[in-house]
Amino acid sequence: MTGKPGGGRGWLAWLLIAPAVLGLVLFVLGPTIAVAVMSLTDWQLGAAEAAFVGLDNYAALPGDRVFRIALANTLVYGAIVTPVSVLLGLGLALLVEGAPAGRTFFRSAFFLPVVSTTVAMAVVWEFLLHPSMGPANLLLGTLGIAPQNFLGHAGTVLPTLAAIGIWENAGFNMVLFLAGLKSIPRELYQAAAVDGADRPWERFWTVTFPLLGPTLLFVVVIALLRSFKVFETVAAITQGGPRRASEVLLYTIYQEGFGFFRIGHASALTMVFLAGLLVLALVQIRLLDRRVHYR
Amino acid sequence: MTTLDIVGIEKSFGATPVLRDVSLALGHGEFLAIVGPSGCGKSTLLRIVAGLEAADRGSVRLDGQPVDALPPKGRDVAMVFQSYALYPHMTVAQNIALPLVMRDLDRRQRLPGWRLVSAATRAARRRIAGTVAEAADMLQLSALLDRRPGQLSGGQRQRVALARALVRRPRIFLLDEPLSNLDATLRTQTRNEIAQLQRRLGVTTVYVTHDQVEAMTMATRIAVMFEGRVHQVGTPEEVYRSPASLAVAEFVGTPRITVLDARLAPGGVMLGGRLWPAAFAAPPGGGAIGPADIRVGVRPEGFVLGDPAGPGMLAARVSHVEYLGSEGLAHLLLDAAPRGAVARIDAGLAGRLRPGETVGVRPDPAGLLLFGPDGRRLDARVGQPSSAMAEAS
Ligand SMILES: Nc1ncnc2c1ncn2[C@@H]1O[C@H](COP(=O)(O)OP(=O)(O)OP(=O)(O)O)[C@@H](O)[C@H]1O
Ligand SMILES: [Mg+2]
Repeated sequence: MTGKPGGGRGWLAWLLIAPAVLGLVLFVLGPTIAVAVMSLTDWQLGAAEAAFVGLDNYAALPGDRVFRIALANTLVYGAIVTPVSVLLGLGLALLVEGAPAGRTFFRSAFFLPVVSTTVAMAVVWEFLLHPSMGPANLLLGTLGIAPQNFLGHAGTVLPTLAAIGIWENAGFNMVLFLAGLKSIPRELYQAAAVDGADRPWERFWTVTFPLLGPTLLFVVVIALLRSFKVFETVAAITQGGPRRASEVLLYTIYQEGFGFFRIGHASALTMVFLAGLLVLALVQIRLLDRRVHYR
Repeated sequence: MTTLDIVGIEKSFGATPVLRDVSLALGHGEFLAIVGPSGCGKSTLLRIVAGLEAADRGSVRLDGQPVDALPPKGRDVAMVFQSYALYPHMTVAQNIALPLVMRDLDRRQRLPGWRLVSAATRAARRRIAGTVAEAADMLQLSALLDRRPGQLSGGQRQRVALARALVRRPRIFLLDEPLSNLDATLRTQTRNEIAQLQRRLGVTTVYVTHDQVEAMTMATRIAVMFEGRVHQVGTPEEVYRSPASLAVAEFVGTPRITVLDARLAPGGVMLGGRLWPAAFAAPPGGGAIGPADIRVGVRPEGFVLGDPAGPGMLAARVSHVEYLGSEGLAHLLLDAAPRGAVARIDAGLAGRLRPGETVGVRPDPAGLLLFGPDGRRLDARVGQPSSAMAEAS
């Protein structure tokens, strides 16, 4: 009767997905290919010509001190921000969900950092943590602790930026967890209560946590991706300093490309960064498909 | 073996009253079915008994002891939820075992690896596994123990939910429409299994359903609820033969009872233009009803069909006939029955009757059920109508 699915109407299918394909090619695929090509050259921004250098840009990366520092800092930053902001997000979600009143208020309050402009918030944080007149140090002063230059000291700058990152991301994770909590059928808690699991902790381990499994994995991967993309706070507050103690990958790429005009080098960095994100995304898809879907 | 007393339960959600003065009493090992139309408060009542919902007033007692202050766990009741409420991340075995794990193991013993350290935990886990295997065997789930609920059919999930309720040997079973999602064959089969199991275990059971056939076939007694009120509690036969209200009469019995319009008259009831002598146990409405409009219910088997000109016959037109093999149902239109009448007839007649045909129909006086204007049953004995046509006035 009818031909194979879409057989005679292939052109219609293509027409319908054309806008999406066009967007994908223009804004994702195209630039990625361009960057990949540029990473194989020694092109300088503004230069009239460029030479093909093969994989030289990549070969130079392991020996590049700034790259190694940036990679290490980014990983450390992610290793702090991800677990803390995920656990904090989960805790906040459980508290907000169980709040007897004011749920909307708390939800909005904790989500505020997510929707506010990071650069503007960075200025606020800079003031809050100012070594002499910041409220944070005034508070420490009342406790008899000497003022700290949180953002100006190589030993504290990365943890401090991480703390700001946690503040920024916890609300985002909370909202994801809230959605996950909403999807847990209420009758499961009632069944658990009848079956004898009615203390908060027992409810959590019997129902909430296992059923939040898919959400949790999703949140962890998203949080990792988001934390690896840290840029605004670094650019606005520390510019990677002091002494490269807050140098992170995206900031290095930005500096190399648009500060020092070494587009070839910056492109190679970008490709490495992209590859890392891609691997994460693949891991997520594999894991999501397998373990946490109770089918 | 436990008795359950539900005493004067009232419950409102906001301004809407959902349960109004509900009282029920169950003896040791009794199987009580609660029936009623959707939204009449059956699930709410069950959840109050389980302790999942607090009543506004009234009390739930187990063996005479009020349990209103106890959480579900302290009441030792087992419940099968309308939606099964199985834990999707656990295997069938783990689902069934959970009530035992929660009851028999302490917090430390429940830790994942604890059985490697403690011989007592190993022994307790073995005991639980044995009980689970027994319950699974009883409900033919042994082959499915390692599956997750998502890999089971509706009927299998149903049985897992039942097994989870059964393993603990609770004081009370609360079953909330446990068969509502099954197909007809599986429903009949599981219906019998549950009834047999309940008799064997002797656990006092409240069984909620809106399927009155289920209630009639399984329960020792039936409670019929409407809009938060219990209209009647009785054996299936009592509820069918002497319903307490018109609502009960219309809800219980398939096909539905036929309702005829009638009026009170001196000495009896005017129905279809004839006077049916009636002796009332108490003067209806304390004499306040007067010549009011009342209604008369007739079960399908309470009609006799015959020649329209025959003695005591009411003229009726055949609307359609259902031929059921061993018998038949005649759907009739007559003046006294605004919503039509249904009469059970023998198969031979069902084969002969044609739609549009006029027949005579006579209700058997012994089967007449009289209901006052408020829908309550009037206790009366009705005799044969006067053979002479009385003038309607
Ligand atoms: N949590 C609630 N909040 C407000 N109203 C509720 C709540 N739970 C139940 N109700 C209302 O109470 C009434 C009785 O509900 P219930 O679930 O007890 O009915 P039911 O007899 O079990 O019906 P069904 O046969 O459809 O399951 C319904 O009108 C319902 O809308
Ligand atoms: Mg219900």
